[in-house]
Amino acid sequence: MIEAKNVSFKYGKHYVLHEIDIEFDMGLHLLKGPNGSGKTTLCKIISGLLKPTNGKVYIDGVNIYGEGDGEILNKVIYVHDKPIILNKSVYENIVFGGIIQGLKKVNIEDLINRFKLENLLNKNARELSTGYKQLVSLLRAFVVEPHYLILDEPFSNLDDEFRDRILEYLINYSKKHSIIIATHTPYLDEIATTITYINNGKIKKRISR
Amino acid sequence: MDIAVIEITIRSLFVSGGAAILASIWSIPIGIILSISDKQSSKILLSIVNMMIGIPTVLIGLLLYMLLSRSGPLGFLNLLYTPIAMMIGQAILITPLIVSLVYEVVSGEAKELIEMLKTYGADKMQIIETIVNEARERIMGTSIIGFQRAVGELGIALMLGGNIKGLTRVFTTAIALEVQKGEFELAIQLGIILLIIDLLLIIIIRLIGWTR
Repeated sequence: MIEAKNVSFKYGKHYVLHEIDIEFDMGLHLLKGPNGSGKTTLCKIISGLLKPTNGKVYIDGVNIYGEGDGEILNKVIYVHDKPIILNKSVYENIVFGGIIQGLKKVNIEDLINRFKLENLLNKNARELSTGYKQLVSLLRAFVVEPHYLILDEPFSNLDDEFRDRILEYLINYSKKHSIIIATHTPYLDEIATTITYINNGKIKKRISR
Repeated sequence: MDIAVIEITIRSLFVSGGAAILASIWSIPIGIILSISDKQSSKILLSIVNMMIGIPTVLIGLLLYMLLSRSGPLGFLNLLYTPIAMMIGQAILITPLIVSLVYEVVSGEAKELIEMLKTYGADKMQIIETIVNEARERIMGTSIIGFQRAVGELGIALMLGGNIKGLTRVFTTAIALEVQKGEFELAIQLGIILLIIDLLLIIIIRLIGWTR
């Protein structure tokens, strides 16, 4: 479980997040709110990428900004809204996270077949369209099968076909893992475990099913 | 073309090119480390580095002169009035510039790349290796800008090189001397070559995508 307790984040004199208390257990969790509401900041804080000004974040009971060795953060993967693509082949981009994590065997065949990328594996990923780049960025995360998958606007550049396949994948994945998605889109509203509405750095409403 | 012009050109390229390579060896890693570090001390260090970009060349020349002169602590090295002394001086001069530019390249371009690497658990070495691989052209551009600054400076070349004909005379010192003598022909020739080198470097920098 990811728990954010009394988390605030201040940028200059302005509070981007203010005294947030929230928990994410297994399932599919949506963070919603207008641009600049604090969704991305919250995602980065619970991913261990941005230290909050105040408050604590626990992952499976471990304070991630505490004294630990940070190993707990291997359970969390955050994927940016803007795809981060290395100057390497599509294949190398997809397995990159697995190699960094020291996985002995990085099996991407299922993902490649599912998303029909067989013919693109040797192509330089920087030459792909933005939609494909976003797909590669997401697949890189799927390969390492994190316990907690945090996605920032994952559907923004995807066409309908890819979006539907990603949605299907995420729905299945959320049955055994936690997925937290910051999004404007309504695609997952019906099946989300929780929907949290954030505005001006504060939680305005939370719907749980 | 006058043989003296060719000789001065080659020496200038050797001294300033060497200075750019030397400075890049330490400045690029420092710039990358500063940009990936979250520590407050890194921010303070960066402010100091930025402040040092504008340090007068004669001041560096003076400090190194005192160090390298016969009675100075490093006098036993016998480096004063040699191209090596000029190279070291210019390398020190352009260090803050290269560190600052590398910081700018890495933190501006690669902030999200660093976050991606961190989320997969990359250690510092893996982060540095990936950044250097991904941004190598732009990082190389910082060394070229450093060279540009070095080849055009006068204070260090004059104080540490002494403008000795056939040994330490470079573009800037030669131009200054010829103008003092009232012999503008050689000064203009050297000035044109310096300008052409500068233009070529600007083209190279543009081609590799570096625009400040």
